[in-house]
Amino acid sequence: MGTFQPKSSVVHEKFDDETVTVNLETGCYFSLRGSADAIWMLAAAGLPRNQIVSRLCATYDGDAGEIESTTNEFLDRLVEESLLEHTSRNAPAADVALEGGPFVPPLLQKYTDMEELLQLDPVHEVDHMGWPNAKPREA
Amino acid sequence: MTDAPAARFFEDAMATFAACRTIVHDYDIAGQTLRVEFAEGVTERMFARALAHIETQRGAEPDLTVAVWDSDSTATKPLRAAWGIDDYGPSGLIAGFNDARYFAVSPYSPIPAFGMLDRETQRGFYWVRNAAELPYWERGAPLRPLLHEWLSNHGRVPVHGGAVGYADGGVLLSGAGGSGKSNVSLACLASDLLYASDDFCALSNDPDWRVHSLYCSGKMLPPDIRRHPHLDPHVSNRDRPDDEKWLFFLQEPFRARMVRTMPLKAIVLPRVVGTGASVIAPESKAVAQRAVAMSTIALSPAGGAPVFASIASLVRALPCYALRIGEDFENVPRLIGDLLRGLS
Repeated sequence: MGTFQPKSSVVHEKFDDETVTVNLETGCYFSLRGSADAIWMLAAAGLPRNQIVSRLCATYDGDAGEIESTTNEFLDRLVEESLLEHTSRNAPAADVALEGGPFVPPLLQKYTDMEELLQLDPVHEVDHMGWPNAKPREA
Repeated sequence: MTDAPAARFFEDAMATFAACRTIVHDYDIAGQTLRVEFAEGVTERMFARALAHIETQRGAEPDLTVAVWDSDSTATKPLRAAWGIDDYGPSGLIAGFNDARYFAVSPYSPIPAFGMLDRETQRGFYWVRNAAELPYWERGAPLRPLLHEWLSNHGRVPVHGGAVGYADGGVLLSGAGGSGKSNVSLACLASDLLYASDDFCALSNDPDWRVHSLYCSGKMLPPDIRRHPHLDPHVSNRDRPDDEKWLFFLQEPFRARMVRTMPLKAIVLPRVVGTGASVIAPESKAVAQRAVAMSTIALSPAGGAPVFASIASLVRALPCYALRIGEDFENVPRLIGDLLRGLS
């Protein structure tokens, strides 16, 4: 079964109840909260989709069907946002420690304010005020 | 000498510079010695002001030597780009001229300008066609991409942020452009707080976090001067185009308020709210990571991943606060001073 891995341009750091991830290629960055953090860690650790779901069901209190559908949707969203990619690697999955409790749906907040700056070409695209002011786009 | 395009371009540029008469300045920059060999003329007058507060006595062998010149005031042959217009990438890196030894960048300048570092010989150069045409951000923060890269290679973390405080501890003011960090930093010049930066500085972690001043300049939009009457006599560019930010060189008028380095005690994220009283309140570390890391990565010539990890280490080590700037802007320096005293 296929597994996931963070895209090579993605970095992430966990702080208390929030993980901050960035795709350095696109400049988009994200806040992962609720069970998003656990799903991210399990996927990044190399678990396939079905094992991520079963691990969450075993850890959290909640309806198994809801956990499964929410998790599958969220994994698809992480791929869609270019944070995760599918891989066929068979390396053993890293161990991830999770704390139990009620299942909280995953929350993903996307920030695009730096997207343009990370892509900015200083020779062609900076306006007369200089960085960080991009030239207005032509209509 | 190699046949690599970067090596050829570097050596040709240095051969051009060799024809210039020079004025040499040494600087203590985040604990490293930077020697700048300015060509006599406009570049020295233009750039040395922003570095005046970290100038040191000419000493032993420097850690990096950078040649700085322009063609117009030295009557030397202009450098001709050995690359195409499409080879400029994000952050100004020049495709095909960056490798393990050489770093090549075009600064954020509307006129031709290039900078290179040779990591093997610890030499570099910055060339601009006509220094008199340089925009305010290059005059206020000269050599920034080169210093950014060099300091990163020597265990320092260049950051997009202001820094103010006391000799025994200060705050890093961070956030995207327009968050208010320059205004807050410059307002502190009218208080008992010391000034290290309004926009760019460097951090070290040996083992405690310290901030190091890079430039003694500051800048603001002209209408903001109403909040800073102490700066009004010191605008350096009233004669420049109306759309330039106003630029200040602070070493001379505020010598006693300049600080080269201080320990860091907190991260403060300013945000202009405009209503109510200004207030400082605890902020989550994830919010601080987003604010400090993302605006810094946007300025990093190379390597967003190490910057992200370094900032995470900083954020975990220091308490983080949000500074909501209300109607009472004049109270902001006092709030920062109170915060620092409370953290002592």
